Amino acid sequence: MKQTPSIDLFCHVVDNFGDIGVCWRLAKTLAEDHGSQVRLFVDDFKTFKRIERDLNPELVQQFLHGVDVLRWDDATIAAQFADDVPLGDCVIEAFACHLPPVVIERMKAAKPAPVWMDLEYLSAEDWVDNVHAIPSFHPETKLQKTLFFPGFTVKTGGLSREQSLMERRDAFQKDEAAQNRWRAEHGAPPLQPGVLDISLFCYDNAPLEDLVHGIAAANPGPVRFLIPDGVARPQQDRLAEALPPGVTLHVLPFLRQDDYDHLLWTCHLNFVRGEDSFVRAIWAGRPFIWQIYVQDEDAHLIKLRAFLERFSQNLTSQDAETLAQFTVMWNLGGHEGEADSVTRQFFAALPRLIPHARDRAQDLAGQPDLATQLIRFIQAQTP
Amino acid sequence: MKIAQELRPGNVVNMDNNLMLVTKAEFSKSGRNASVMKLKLKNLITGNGTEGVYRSDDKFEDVVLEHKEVQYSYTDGESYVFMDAEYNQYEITADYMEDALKYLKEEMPCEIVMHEGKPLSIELPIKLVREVTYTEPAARGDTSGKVMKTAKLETGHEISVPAFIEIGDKIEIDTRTDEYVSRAK
Repeated sequence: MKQTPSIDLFCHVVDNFGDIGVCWRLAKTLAEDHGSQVRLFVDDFKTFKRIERDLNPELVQQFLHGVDVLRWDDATIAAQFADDVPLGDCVIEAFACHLPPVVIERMKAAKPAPVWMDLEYLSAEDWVDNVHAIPSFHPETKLQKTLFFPGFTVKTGGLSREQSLMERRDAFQKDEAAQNRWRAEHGAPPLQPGVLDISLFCYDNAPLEDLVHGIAAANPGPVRFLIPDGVARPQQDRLAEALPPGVTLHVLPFLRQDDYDHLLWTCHLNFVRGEDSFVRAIWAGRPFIWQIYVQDEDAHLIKLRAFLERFSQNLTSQDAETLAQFTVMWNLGGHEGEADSVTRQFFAALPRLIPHARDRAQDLAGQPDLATQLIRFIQAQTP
Repeated sequence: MKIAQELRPGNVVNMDNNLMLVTKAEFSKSGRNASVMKLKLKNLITGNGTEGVYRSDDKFEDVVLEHKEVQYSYTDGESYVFMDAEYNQYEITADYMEDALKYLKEEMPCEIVMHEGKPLSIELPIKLVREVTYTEPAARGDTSGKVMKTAKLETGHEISVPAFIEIGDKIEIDTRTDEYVSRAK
């Protein structure tokens, strides 16, 4: 059996929490579940601190959750990639973040060169199956480089998931007292029969007013929005002023990753965005609505449709269309009068979406997770 | 130098002193406005094939080869025959054509790529117009152009088009990305 590879993972925080969210979770999983020696280089400790309270942003290097966390700056890179410091068996650049030239030079000089990978964005589109994990001659460096794609099929790199995740989720969701303890610790109201709790994590352009009007029209009973602080703040304020009767707003402190999982697990419906919270919502096994990162030329809408099509397998065509319409409305905004009817149909379908969300999570958990597939790939490429 | 996104069938690149002919180039939009290219390449000396997946901004050293303006004449199934203005014929075998076949139709003007007097492949125009021979009817009221559907072209190739496109419409296509550009007049 091959030795667990050591890994150097580079994360450039472009905006929001997606880059660091995905990288931090992956780094922890590689270290904790697989015993891999991981060096994580991050260029924005301020954003990182928001999701990991144990991080000390003043330190250049620290050891957290089994991961050697380092600030990505010139001096640190020069020291960590000096000739006498061993390279990892694998170097991963997350989301095409471009490695520092000194790292490339070390890789070119190494015999054998480390496995070089680019961790790509998650997509449910079919083309991902055809491009995942093909070692390719990189013309500029003359090294082999592989684009590694997370995804939803066995032909992709899978989804990020810790080995104990489903077990921990099930235990929490079965234990009402534990849920209420967690809620009390984080400023959320206790579970209440007949009350629908909705977590909300969205981009600033989310049509919150349409949602609230739609909920008033759908009248699904009492609704409580649980919102981690710092998210869509201007909309939050507008929302607070426009709440219809029966709908309340509860702002929670900004949550670190583990706590955010608990929020998803305890709510009946989750609104999520981007990549990291989206994947966690899948694992929560509760119905969720995904707001996708907007791209030029509406490329994101094709990706959204591809996901809905894949995720809605086993739903009736009517429920699949209802879920798609509501999700598209949440991403594009509703036309006048349309939001209310679409929201009404969605809440009418919600009881049927509950077992569906759980089943899909179970199906996807049957596939190897991202970290496991990364390790297997690296081992297969290593002499 | 060319970036990966600019490469298309018929281009030749130098990879570690090997001249590699691009026979297939597939463009896909990844996340956050990034994109990737899957290239199928053929070594011009050994004839061996390989493939690679690249970021669209990866740089390649392109090799400028002789080009000749020709017109597609006919195929016997194994080879494709092109003719220049002096009625000289040039044969290219199917395994060197790959992506070019998606849009090839009789009397189509194009450029043949030559290496040491031997025809290698053809280079398609970046944009060309083809007729839609089959597509499902559009859903009523959907004129946004954001909802896409599949359309079959007169050459048999299928691409995604906006829902308002109908059978018989002529559409402009970007051959680098296989993407619909506009409805042609």
